[in-house]
Amino acid sequence: MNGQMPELLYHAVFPILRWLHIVACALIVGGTLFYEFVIPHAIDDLRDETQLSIFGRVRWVFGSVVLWCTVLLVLTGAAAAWRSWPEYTTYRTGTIHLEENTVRLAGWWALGHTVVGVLVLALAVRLTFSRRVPPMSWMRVSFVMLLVTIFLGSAARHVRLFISEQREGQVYGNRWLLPRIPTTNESPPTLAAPQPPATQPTPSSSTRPVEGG
Amino acid sequence: MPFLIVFFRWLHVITACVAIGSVFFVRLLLPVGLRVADDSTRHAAFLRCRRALKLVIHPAILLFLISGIFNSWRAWDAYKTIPTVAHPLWGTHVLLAAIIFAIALYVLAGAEPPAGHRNWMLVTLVLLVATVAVASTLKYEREKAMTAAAAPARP
Repeated sequence: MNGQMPELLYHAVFPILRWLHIVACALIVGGTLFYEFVIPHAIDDLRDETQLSIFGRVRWVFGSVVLWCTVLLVLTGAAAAWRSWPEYTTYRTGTIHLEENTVRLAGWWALGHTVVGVLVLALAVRLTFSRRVPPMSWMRVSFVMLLVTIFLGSAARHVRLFISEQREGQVYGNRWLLPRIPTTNESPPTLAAPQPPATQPTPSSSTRPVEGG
Repeated sequence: MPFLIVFFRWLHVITACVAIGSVFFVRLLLPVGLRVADDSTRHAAFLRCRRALKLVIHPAILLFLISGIFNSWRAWDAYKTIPTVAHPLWGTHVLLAAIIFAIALYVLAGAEPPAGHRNWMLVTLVLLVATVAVASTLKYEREKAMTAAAAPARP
């Protein structure tokens, strides 16, 4: 999948898309916080008609921000999922049986992040564009769901990185740390080849270990 | 330990989201909403929102420092393997953050905003977005290095 795009473009596009994803998320989360919790209290001692006009204008402007950020989050999230898909679906044969379950776990966290994210974005758009001002309880629910979505994304990323570290550990015998890069006066470290188990299948056979050995 | 790693990353991210969104809202959206009010009403409403922004930004600075220190400690060994990339990116990220903290503390100090506060808040917003870009690039480079290091192990 990585070889289908020029390398320079690949390494330029995806960091930008990740940045856009975070900025769009930030605008929605922080804007929601102020729109739902600060603005109503800041204008509550004004005349009713002044409150309505101020809140109406803020709601109109923030609605367009929510809409654009929702589109941006969905598009950049889809691109990130496409890029990370092999890491969530590729199993390796190896001596560490934990890895297959860990890969599945990363996929579940990512799926949760996607599902909850889509739901909360739909809720945010619905609340922002409804004809009447929605009740405060729904707005608080949307804010909490936004925080949960970010947590699910952080968890998925952590498990994905753990898988990468595990794979390095198979070569370097080091589960948590990356190998030290030698200086110019040192010779590169020699790497011990991994010792495959006796039941390791050949490359032409199935990629899954044979059950029952 | 895994819970702490995920927790502090989540804390750092949501703090950034809240800070960026709040500054964006107060600097760009709130003036549009307050345009319909008369001068005294607009100023009073703005000061209340500014007070709320102070209550958001001051704890955010503390949370940034705590979560940022933990995340840097956690990722330090990985950064040491890519020093030519990690050093400038991490340094720029921390330097921009320090500048943002200084500007935010200055603009939000006192009961009344200082002269030029609108321009300072716009600068803060731009620097916040730039800081996220630097952090995203650093994270990408770190993951790229880990993927490259694991590549010889793949069949």
